[in-house]
Amino acid sequence: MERLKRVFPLLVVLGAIFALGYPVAFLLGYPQAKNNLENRSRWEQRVVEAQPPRDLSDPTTLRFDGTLNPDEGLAVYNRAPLTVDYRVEGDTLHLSEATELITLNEIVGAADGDKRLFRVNVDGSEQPLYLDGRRLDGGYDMPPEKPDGDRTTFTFTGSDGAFILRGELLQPGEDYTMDGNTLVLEEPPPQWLQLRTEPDWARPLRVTGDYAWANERTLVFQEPPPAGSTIELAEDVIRWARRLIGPIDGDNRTFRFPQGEIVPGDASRRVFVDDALLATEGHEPREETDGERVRFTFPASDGVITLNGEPLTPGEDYDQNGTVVTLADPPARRSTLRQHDYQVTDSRQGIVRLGTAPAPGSLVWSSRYKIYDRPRCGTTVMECFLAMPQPPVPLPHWIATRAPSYITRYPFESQQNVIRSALYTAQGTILALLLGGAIGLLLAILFVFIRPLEKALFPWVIASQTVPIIALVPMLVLILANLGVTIQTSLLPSALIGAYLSFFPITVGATKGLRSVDPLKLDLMRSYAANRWQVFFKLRLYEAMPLLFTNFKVGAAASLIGVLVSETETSNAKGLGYAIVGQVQAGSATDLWVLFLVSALMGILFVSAVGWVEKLVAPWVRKA
Amino acid sequence: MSGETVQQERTTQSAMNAPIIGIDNVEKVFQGDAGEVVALSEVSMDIASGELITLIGPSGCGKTTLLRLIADLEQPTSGAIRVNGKAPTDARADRDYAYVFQAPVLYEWRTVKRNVKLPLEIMGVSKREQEARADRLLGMVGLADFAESLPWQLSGGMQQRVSIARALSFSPSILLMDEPFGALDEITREQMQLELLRIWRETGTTTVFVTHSIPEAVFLSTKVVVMSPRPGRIYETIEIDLPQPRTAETRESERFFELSTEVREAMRRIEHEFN
Repeated sequence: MERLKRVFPLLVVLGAIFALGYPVAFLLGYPQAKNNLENRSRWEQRVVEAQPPRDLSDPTTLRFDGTLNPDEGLAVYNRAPLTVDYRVEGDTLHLSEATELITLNEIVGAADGDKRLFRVNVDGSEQPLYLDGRRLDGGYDMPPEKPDGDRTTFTFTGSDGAFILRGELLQPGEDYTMDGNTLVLEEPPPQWLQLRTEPDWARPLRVTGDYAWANERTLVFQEPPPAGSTIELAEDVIRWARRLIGPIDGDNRTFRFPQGEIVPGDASRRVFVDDALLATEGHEPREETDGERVRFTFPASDGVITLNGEPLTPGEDYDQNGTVVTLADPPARRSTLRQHDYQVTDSRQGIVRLGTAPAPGSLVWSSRYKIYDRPRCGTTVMECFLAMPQPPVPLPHWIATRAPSYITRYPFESQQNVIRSALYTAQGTILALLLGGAIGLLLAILFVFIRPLEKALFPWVIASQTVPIIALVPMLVLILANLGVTIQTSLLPSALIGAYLSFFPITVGATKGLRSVDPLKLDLMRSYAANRWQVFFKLRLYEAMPLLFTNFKVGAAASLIGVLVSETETSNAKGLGYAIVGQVQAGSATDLWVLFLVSALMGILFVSAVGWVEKLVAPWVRKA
Repeated sequence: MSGETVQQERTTQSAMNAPIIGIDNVEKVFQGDAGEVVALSEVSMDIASGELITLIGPSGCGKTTLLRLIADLEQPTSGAIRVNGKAPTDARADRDYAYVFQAPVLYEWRTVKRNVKLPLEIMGVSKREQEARADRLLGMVGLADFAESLPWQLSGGMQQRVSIARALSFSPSILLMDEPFGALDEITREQMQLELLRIWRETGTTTVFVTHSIPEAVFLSTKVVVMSPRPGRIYETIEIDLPQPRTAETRESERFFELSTEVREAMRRIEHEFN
């Protein structure tokens, strides 16, 4: 009960800090979370593509995945609206006559009822695949682990299905064994060096759909296609594409994409007027902008003219005569003058302006465009906040749950182990405190016995603390390196810097402590005609204890700071200071906070340890 | 050398007659922030061996200053003081006196016994002798059971008894006491007074005792010196002829009241004259 009473205030404080951590973390993380939610560049993008039919087995009746609406879409083939008449009924497209529907890529080898791996002569991984006229669904499962040249185990969400690696089908029992959902390979896959551009197939994959691509030119089926079946990989196929919305009256040039907010700089966007593909990129004029020229020749006689991305107004900013454009003012040197087939005028609304008004009866459509689909992080700021991988201030329970795993992540023998680093830093701190304490006490004793020495030296003691420690470490490193000390692995720099910071409070405390003797106790000594040594060893030393220990506590904290700073600057990989800098560079806020808490805990432990020593050495201080 | 021996002999032979402390026309001026303050002026007094003299007077009359001058804790501005026939500095160096402060001034880090030993350690007395004397003195002040206690475990009265034991530990020929019982409650105080008288009788130590309690002064002393303030001077000296040994009943005797009244009258006159 008594013990509980003592611990209770501490628990209240800890609880309050813990609880306070949530609003603080949220407030500080709010701007980033809001940005993640609202900034379109951080949204998930989706490609809206002309849809291939589900079934090609009947050449005049094609089924699609959803209901077809002839007002919003049209059937296209070979980059042009379909030339035969058709009508639409639900999800089915009825052609008035049979026509060519598919252009095929060559597939090496024929289905024999056993073969599952087929080579293709081109990269067909984005193209629809048909088996006996039925479209197949591709799909695979990818492990979170990356091959590093040594790793042989990879975890999947399931254990069934075919496994493939870098263009090869893996043979069970021969190339791999399964341990639950973990694939255990006989040979480790090679490390993929360009991690940023790593294709999915650099890792082992599990085929989950009807088929998957084992690399850009290798197709692997889940089940071997039956002997004599037709495998068709479409280089092109009839598709259902989207129409752009807007009146086609020979005058109107403004059209709207049917779905959502388009991505402005989408190089893969395909916009057609009938069978003519409009260039997404602008056309350059034949002449260069040199700051004087006003006449420029473009490839086409019409289009949207832009200067540095801003559209110009015909008749006002420029006059056009055939393909020659005469600007009212010469554009500056190296400015970007372009002629566009069309221009995105409002990406939010998905509005574009065509260079030429389409003639009545023509079709304006798109086979492929990207839209901003939805925020990647969630639908509310709170969701986005919780989804942040690296919030500036992590939530307290993240730290609490992360700390144990961070501490046990590396074995104790590893240099990266936090406990090991902390113990190493503790060694440095103890050395620093002992050294600083010895220097501080020595100076204080000299000052007390020889007053002129204090007058002469004390200003320098103060001045020593105004030297920025950041500047001091490199200097010390140079000197020690010259003396043959291996800086990166030596405790010496840490101990010296820690001592440099801790000797000051100890000097001040000890000097003041040795002087602040009860005058009556001094009178008593005087009445006994005691000499100065007796006064020192029987009185001053004891009377100095309370102040001395208070300042030793300050010195302990200063030592720890000195050691941490020294470890970061000397890149001493064994210490906690180095680990802290490592986390800052890795941008891992949660780990950083764990390290921060470990250092804080060390500080508290050191100060308490000085308190325990005080209880042992000077037990009367608390009682009297 | 020979002079000192003669002096020693003389003191022992004519115990009650020869002055053990001689104060001759002493003046003490303190340099304060607000200019000079004359603490003592024209003070002359002889104290014979074995006497118990009490200095009494209102606050600021310089009684503590006079005691500190005798102890060489301050130096007189003019005039001369002789202690055991020597200058106070020499008397201090020879450890001729012990000083008891108003506060016990015990060293918190030492046990009761080690506090009593403190002066003996400083004076280089042998370990065995230290042990023997400390035990004897703690027995004398009735604290034998508390030898190993630490000061904070003792009451105020007990602490002051430790400080008296410490003062007597090296058998000084003079005991200088500066309101030693001032901070004690009345009952403890009266007990301590009886104890002091007993010790004084047993040891025969010449004692100079500063107080501002009239009954205490009358009860303890062989002579009460009444001092007046601004500057501190000796106003009157009253012989106390109460019979020895004094007991608790002495306080109820008629002579005790007469003498107390006499001292009180003197104090009252001072109050009239100096205010």
